[in-house]
Amino acid sequence: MPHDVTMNHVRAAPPATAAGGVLSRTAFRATFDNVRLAIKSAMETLGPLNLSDEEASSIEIALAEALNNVVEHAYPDGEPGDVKLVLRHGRAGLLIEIRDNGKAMPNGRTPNGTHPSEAHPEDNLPEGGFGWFLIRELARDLVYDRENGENFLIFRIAAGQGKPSQ
Amino acid sequence: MEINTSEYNGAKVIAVGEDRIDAAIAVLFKDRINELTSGSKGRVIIDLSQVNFVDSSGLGAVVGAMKQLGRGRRMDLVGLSPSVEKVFRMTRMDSVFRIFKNLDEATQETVDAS
Repeated sequence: MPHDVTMNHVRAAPPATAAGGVLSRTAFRATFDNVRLAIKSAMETLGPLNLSDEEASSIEIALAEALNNVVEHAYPDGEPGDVKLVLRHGRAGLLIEIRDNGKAMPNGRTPNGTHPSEAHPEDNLPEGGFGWFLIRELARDLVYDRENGENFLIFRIAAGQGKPSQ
Repeated sequence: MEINTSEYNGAKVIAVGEDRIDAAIAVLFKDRINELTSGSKGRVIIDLSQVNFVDSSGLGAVVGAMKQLGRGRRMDLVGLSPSVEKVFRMTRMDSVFRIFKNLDEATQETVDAS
């Protein structure tokens, strides 16, 4: 009875939480060069998940934008502080958690990610302002919080779902 | 920064030899393109076939480099990887540039247009 088998399979699935298991934890000084290295290392960590090119590029783009934002906006001048990156893989896909001790998001909220040509219709060739637009397009379940001087950003990329974590 | 220029069919071809155009090199990239294109005229083709990743800073640098060319001068792009093409498409900047699969296609177009 194939139908029953399928049902059993679902019930018998490992009790993975939606958040899933930790794939990697890294901490580094927030510079653009280190962001580049961290992305490279993260993409290598994800290798065993056998993601499609489409999934991998979504992760790489969202990760780059979120980490570059920390360098650019959380530590805009002076000595850059640290940024912590945690990757988790579970039922819901890939969870990306980023923490830093820099400046808070403006008004305590993440930017709404309006396309720059809509935010500034007079400029049809925008050179910036795409970061949050891209993150909003690619990320799901985005949460931002700030506590004890620490920024906490977590979001999910629907990638590698239904694949074993290890 | 790894960049090579050549002339082809009246166009200046700038081949970017970097794996990534990202926030770490975006400003440098824009300055280099500006250096390489100022003082000359005509069409510019940026060959991105060796570039595997562009972030929003890199995208902004490409747009900025085109703006520096000024009116009446074209900057076309060739050799976008699927990931690079995705960033241009998502941000709708693919409508701002003429994008060709490769140099042959881009320069064939020049012949057709002449």
